[in-house]
Amino acid sequence: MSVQSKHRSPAAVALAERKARSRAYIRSLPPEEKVALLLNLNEQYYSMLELRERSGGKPIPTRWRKWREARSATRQKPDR
Amino acid sequence: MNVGNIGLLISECEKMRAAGIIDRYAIGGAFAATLLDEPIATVDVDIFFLFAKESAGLVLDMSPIYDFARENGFTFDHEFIKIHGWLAQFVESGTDPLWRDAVRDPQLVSFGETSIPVIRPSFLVAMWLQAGRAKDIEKIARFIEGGLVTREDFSIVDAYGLTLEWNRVKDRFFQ
Repeated sequence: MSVQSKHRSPAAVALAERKARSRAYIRSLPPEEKVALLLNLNEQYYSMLELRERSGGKPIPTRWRKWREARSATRQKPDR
Repeated sequence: MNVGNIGLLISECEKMRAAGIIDRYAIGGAFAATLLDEPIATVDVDIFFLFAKESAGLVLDMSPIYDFARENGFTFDHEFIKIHGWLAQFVESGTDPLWRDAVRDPQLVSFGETSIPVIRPSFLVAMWLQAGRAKDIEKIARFIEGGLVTREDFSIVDAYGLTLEWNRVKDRFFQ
């Protein structure tokens, strides 16, 4: 699948190329780093859900509340 | 590096296997995509598994899994078992031919001192095709873009009754 298209503006093509480079870098990381990135990504996503709820938007989905609760429990325990 | 003790989750799966509760298992879903490709936000870790013993009844009985959780102090609800900070979703895969074959031949991903059994890309994309939600089609696109699967990998879809589903979307990916 090509990221380029003759219908796209040069700026859009450049952006697509930057994204493709960034993705290629992330794909090249070892699994341990990918999981660390996943946890960061989840934290960021949860922060957005919190912000949305605080701003009067939809409540945080139950599944994400469960995720927060599970992660909080690990923070209280040292690694075995 | 503390990466959320995923190795501890795998170790609990191995204990279940050693105890004769489950047979083979493999990680699927967005967590598999994270390990093989790139991180995708997800609340849970999908663990596709086969029971070690066939169920005697017609109704799926997950109680051996919940008994293990209870005995080992892991809390659970109808959806997830909370294991070392992860929300694990155990998905019995013996009745679906695609899932069963996917679990039988996993790819081992080295993770520190642990090897994590992960569903192979060609099966993952077929499973996402079967699920058919927008986010599943997006994951298929990522795997094609990342070179994890080629057009030839989709030749298995016919064997699992997914020809129509594939015909509906294949032009998005391959000209």
